[in-house]
Amino acid sequence: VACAELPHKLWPNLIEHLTGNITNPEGTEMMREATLETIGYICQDIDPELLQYQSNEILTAIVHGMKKEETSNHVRLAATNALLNSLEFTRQNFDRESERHFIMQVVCEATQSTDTRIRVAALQCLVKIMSLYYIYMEHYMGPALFAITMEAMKSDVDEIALQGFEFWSTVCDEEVDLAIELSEAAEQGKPPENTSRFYAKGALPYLIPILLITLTKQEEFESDDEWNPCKAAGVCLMLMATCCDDDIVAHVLPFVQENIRNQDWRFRDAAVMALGSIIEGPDPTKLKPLMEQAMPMLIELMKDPSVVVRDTTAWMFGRVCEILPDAVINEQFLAQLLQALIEGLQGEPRVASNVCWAFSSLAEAAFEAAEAATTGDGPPATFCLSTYFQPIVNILLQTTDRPDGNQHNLRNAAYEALMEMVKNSPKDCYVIVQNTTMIILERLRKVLEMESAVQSCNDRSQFNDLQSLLCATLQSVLRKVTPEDAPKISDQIMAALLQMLSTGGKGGGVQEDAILAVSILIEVLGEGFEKYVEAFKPFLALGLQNCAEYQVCLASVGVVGDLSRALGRKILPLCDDLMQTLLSILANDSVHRQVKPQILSVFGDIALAIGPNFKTYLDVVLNTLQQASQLQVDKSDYDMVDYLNEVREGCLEAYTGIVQGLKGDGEQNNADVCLLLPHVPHMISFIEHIALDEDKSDGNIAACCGLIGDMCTAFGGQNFGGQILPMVEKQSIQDLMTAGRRSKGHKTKTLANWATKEIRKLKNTS
Amino acid sequence: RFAQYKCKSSTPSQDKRRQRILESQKKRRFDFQGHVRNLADGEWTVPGQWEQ
Repeated sequence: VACAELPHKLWPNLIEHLTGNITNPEGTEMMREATLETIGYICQDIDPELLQYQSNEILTAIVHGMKKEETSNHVRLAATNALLNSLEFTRQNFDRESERHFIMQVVCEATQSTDTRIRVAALQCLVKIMSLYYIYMEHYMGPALFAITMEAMKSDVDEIALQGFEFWSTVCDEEVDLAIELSEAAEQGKPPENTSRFYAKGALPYLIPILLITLTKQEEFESDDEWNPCKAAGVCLMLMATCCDDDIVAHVLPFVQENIRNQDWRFRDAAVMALGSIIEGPDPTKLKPLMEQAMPMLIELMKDPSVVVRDTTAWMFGRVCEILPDAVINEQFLAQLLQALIEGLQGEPRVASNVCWAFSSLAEAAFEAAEAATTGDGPPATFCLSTYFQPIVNILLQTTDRPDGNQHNLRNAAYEALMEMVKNSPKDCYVIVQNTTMIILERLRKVLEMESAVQSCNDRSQFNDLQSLLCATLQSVLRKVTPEDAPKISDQIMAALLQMLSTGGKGGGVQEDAILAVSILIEVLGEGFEKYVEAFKPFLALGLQNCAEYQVCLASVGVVGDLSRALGRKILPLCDDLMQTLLSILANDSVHRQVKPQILSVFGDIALAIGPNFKTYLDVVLNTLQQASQLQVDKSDYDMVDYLNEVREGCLEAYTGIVQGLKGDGEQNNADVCLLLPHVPHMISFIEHIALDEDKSDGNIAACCGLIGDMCTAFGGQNFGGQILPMVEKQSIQDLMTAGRRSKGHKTKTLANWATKEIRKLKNTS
Repeated sequence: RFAQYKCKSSTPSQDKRRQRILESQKKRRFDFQGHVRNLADGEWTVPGQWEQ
């Protein structure tokens, strides 16, 4: 009731009443407990800003209930839980030293309670305080927090130990954020607002032994959903490595070396877990030789009698392949590792699922290495996995068909590994990719045949997932098919996709993946897609109108852009309907905001495709762009700033397409481009507005420079050159172009240089 | 924290597929516009698949 009424100022004396209950010496234990619970619930659910002005009274009452002099543990527990929920709006009290000391003293005392529930709640308070008020913790870390949390981590009571690990994981999170803040500030040549106190690095020698010993306390048959100190220690160690970089290696390595051959599986598993946890953070050049030294032993552990060890080893290889691929992509170990991974893929779903991840990362790293060594365009001729490509693809295809594929996300992981293998395949694996395409198409055909047999909800869900995965795999293979081969299989692919789109009752996920596959098919076929337009048109219209499942709508908007680029003027017969639908989506307030910037960009695609024929839509589109370009957002909301930049980029891309389209590509500019002249001042003022915005993105700068150059080309002839030149020579626009020329983005730099040349040409001719 | 335990960070998903296609469409739009600038200018070199 309080949460419903307080925001409307309907119960002004409530907090006064509640806090009075607690400090009243006549109050009963039950009254104080119930009151503190009530305060706790209110603090938990209400907007913190609403209680900020009463934080003093609330905090006084809570701390009163938490004090060690309080004889009732029920009251103390309720008070400690209430404090946990009130920490976010007591910033003012934490800012004042004397009050902060008092709160910290009461919380630290509560961690020493004999009642486990109070200890856990007090430790939870410390975790949250560390996350919210890190900058104030120096005074308490040495004398109190360090000892309290070390003791907690060693506790036999899991709930207490978990909070100890959580405290140090939180310290790492904070210090990693502070390190990022420091490097960003350094880039901008400013001092950082807050600085790290490096508590994690200082605690390494004391903390690591506790973490390592806790790693050996695995349950043999633990449930996947269970959270226990062993898992918490694993995560904490991983975060410590990210936070402390090289310093962690010397503390962890002896444990790995001593225990990797231990007779007890728990110690072998802990050793592999420890090694896997420190792969990210330390300098790769420091880790690589250590990893190479351990490789033979690690490969052997893929055959360990314990499934837990095999699982952890497969996970560790997944991390190595992703983070430190150079350690495994070498002649010495690659063949042995691949053999071990292929065998692992036939093991338990939990092991196989990790192996799939390893293959995904391995393919990407191998491809990148080959690309780096290749000169010229196109994929590399070969890579280090070429010899093994066929057996890996075969076993991944078999894995996708395993009856236990729904355990540990194995089926998805296997399809995704297959997609990565295909995506990262060099030229000498092309035949295997072609064969895989046919296998996927055949599977899709069989699945679609089963459509009518699906009855239960569970079957439907699995059926949809499978269609989505097959469609996604199809996207992967299509990207690799050469323009010569694409027409040979496109009829079959399009028939399957149309069938997927035509059968109702599916989730938006399947529809989206089918439309994304159409997108790629259009890209691959180009003008050759024309023969499917008539059959596809109704599904495109349905997709565009599916505002409820915005991803389907977004993918369909993308297809309109693809069709424009592929068909050029041949898209003209579709344009009336398409433009009407796109404009109606823009006018619809309930459409997800991610869709709208894409529509603006697609206006540019259509304009460029149909050239002077865009005149029909010019007024309405320019009017829409003028409105969209004046969008204002709450600049304190980062998501809205991103959205603003996306909308602006959409407007700029639309203007670019319209200018270029109306101008035409002949030697002489098409006279229709003059229709835009009345709008040039707005376009220039829009660019100036962006130029002066501190939050503009690099993409905005690039698009602005492109449009400036285009306007110079379009309007810079003898008739208008004198008008456009003073506009683009304004200081704010010149500053924007300087920023573009200095950008780290290749695209931005190129466009800014090109636009500068265009302006120079204008100057020379004027 | 639970999600961080033995996490597999690079697993592709439908979100990533969507993102990848949006990026590819943006790149093709850029190449297309660059191609037009090349026709107008004669100094522009367009990289990538466009020229196929």
